[in-house]
Amino acid sequence: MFRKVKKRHSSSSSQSSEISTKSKSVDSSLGGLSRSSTVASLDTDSTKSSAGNSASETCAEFRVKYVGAIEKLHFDMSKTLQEPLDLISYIDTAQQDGKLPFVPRDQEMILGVSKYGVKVASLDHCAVLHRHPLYLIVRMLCYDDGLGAGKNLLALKTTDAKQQECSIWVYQCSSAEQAQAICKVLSASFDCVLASEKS
Amino acid sequence: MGNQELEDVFVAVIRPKNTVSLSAKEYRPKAYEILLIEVPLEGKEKKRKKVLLRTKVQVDGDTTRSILDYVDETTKPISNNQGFTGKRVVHMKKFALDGDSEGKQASLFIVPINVKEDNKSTYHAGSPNFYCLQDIMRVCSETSVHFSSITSKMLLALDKWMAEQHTVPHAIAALFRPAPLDRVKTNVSNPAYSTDGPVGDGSVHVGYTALEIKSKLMSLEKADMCILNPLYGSDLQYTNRVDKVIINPYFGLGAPDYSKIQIPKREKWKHSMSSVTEDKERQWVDDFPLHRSACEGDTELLTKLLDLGNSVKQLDSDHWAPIHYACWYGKVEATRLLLEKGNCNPNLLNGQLSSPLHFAASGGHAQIVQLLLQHPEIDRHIEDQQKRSPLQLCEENKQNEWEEAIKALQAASNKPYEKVRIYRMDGSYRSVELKHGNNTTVQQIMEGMRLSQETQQYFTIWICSENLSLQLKPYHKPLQHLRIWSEIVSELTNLDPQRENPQLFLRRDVRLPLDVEKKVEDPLSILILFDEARHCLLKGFYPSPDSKLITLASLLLQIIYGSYESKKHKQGFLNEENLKSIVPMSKVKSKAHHWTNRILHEYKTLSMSEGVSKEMHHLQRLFLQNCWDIPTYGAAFFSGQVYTRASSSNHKVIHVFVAVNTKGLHLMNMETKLLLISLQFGSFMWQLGQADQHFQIHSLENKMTFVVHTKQAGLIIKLLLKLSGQIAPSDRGSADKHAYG
Repeated sequence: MFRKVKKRHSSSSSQSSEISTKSKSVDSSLGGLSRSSTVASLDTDSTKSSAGNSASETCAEFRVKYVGAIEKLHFDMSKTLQEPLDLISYIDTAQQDGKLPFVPRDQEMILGVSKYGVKVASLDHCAVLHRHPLYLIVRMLCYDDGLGAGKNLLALKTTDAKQQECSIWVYQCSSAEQAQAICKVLSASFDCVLASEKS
Repeated sequence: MGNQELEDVFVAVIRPKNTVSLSAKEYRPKAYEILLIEVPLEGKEKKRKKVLLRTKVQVDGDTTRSILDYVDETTKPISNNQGFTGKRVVHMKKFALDGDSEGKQASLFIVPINVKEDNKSTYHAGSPNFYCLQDIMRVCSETSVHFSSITSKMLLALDKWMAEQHTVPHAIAALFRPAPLDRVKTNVSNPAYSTDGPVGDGSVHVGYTALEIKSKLMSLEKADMCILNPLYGSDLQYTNRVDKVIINPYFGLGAPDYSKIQIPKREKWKHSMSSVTEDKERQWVDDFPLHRSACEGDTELLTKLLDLGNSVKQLDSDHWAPIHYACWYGKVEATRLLLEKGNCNPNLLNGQLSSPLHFAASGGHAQIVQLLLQHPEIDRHIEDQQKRSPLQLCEENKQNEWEEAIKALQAASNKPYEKVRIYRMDGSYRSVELKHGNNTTVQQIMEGMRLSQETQQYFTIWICSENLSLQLKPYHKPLQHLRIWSEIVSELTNLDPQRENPQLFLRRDVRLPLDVEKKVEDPLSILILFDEARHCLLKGFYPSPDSKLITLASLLLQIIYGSYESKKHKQGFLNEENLKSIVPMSKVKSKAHHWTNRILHEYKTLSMSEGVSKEMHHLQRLFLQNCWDIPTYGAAFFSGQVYTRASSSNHKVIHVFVAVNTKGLHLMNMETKLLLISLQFGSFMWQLGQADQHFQIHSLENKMTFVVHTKQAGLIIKLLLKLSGQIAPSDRGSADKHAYG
């Protein structure tokens, strides 16, 4: 059933090939700036075809903090987490029960989004902490943590290759704009893959 | 739905009275309100009790939704028909039921709702109402009649739970935070996991099924290239062996002498790197022609440059001398020229303390090694900064003809050492092996003299030519002083260096105190001291009254000719020739003729005297005894000039000897050998003049001040300081180039 896809470098008319190039390396402190550039490129380029085909090498990077994860939930459980609100409730409850911290530790990490998925690495890029391949990402949710400080959390729901388990990863963004930007880039990544020519 | 099993649940709806309490760290029940409902007490119509909300939910259903709906419905009557929207449903605990449903369990859920608003709630009988949690808890106990027993139990547990939550940071804020619906901002979902069939979102992925999308996404995970580590899993052992170690040779040597580090000119370092090296090289060629010709083995140019008087000792910008280049690059003839024509020191060290032999050996230049080893002054045991011998370097590097070089080095180690003559004042000498070539130190030579431990301490090595005598320090290398004697002579005197031929002598250490000398018993030591004293006497260095000179002359007669014999030793016996060997030279012509009678008389008396031992060393010691009170005994003699003002118009120059010994400072007229002045330590002060060209002496006794002009002023003052006890003997001034250790 799986169709073979042409070598990805050939995606010359990809709508998103410029997304990542323009939004590359977004500093957390410049969340506002990064958003505008990302969004602008998304909006303007979505209809244009772009000349560059370097999308495969580019990756938008954001500075985030890691809150925690709930890994390997059984599939039965993941079924009840279909809806975004269920996911938030679930994370809320996990926090209330002490299974997840309310706030992250101070250490910042680099969250990179590309068409290969999401990669979380240490600031010096020396250690990759998590990698979520695009095809295993089920959902990305951006929501307010509700603790009053206006912090935005990024919840990532992933599954495994056999779709028997699911995991939830929670990161804290530096700003609402940054959170939005991450979602936009990921969304664009999905679009990018789908827009590549059928083979 | 009807056939679904139902479960009993209790619901505690809680709200904070104000927002402040959310951030309070301490749990105060007063800050919260709880929703309770009053029901009539069974059997007692008037009395009512309060109970928690209670409902039934489907076991497998959406408990959260059902409870929230129930709360909403139940609270409508008390809030203008709006109902309260629970933020969330938190399961607290399960409780065992009693009474009718004994054995069953029921869960208590907490539903936090918004902060209390100002508008007054209306009270409806039979409807629930908010009560201050503190008020409730005050009357609540297991047996309280105000509550049903299960409610009491739950309220107590709730109270405890709330207290616990307050201890967890953020927990209370999180409990009352807005419902997920109010907080969600963006949702990005993977179309591959979309549940409602082919995605209809926008135009982009129309026509793809979820599975197709997934396969597209998965294809991204496929690698373009795969590289396997071929060594992985093999039996290759990991070792941490080091291939090469480079140690900074300057490490541990302390701070460098910054004054010797040259800062390149601005134009040089302003250029780019490559042109700097180029410039440097060009500059080097210009600045150091001798180095360059040695480096290239250009013997013609080398000869010419040596003829022009270029110094073979000059170090270039890398602190190498020409011979180092010749040896490094294996230029045999250049090396030979430098050694023979340039009289270069074969043991000359470069700035990194490597010798020519090290360079030649490490380069495997066998011929040069041979050439160097043949040099009489070579130090075959020389070591570099890392304490490596040339042989070691040769074996390590294995360059060129290293095997032959090794043979040469090994053969050389079996050769006898070169020797140097160490003279005594009577003209005899001993040849001493130079184990380290011209690197052999005074100390090593003294050890080679094979003197007894006692004798050794009275004497040391002096380097003397006709008009300049210097005592060397233990670490001095006398052979190198011999090498540069002409330079030393020009530095310290105005004499013609060519006429001063240096030799090494074993002489009395100028620092030897008279008290110690007076206790010397050893015949050899006495002999050497005697020889030196006699030499000085005859040279006129011991200015004394006539009577003293006559006594000394008679003693010398006794020592030289044995006891007086009237037949042999008549008046004519003391002719000029014989007088020369017993009285100071200056007196031979002028006075000595008048003394012959008195000398012979004393000689006769001495020979006849029975109280005097005729043992040679006793007589020699007697001679020394007579010398000890001579002011200049045991002194080091320097030369200088004193200007006296004979009249107001013209100066008179007096050439003087400056004698410094453990007693003090003495000035002698160089021509007449008369003692001009004799000052004991403590009775005079001194001061070194500018550029070490003169010094000033101020006598405390008669307030006289005079100035002695001499290039040796620096040496004299240093010796004065040392002998007067103002410098500890161990002080090793860096300027002590030549003398008086």
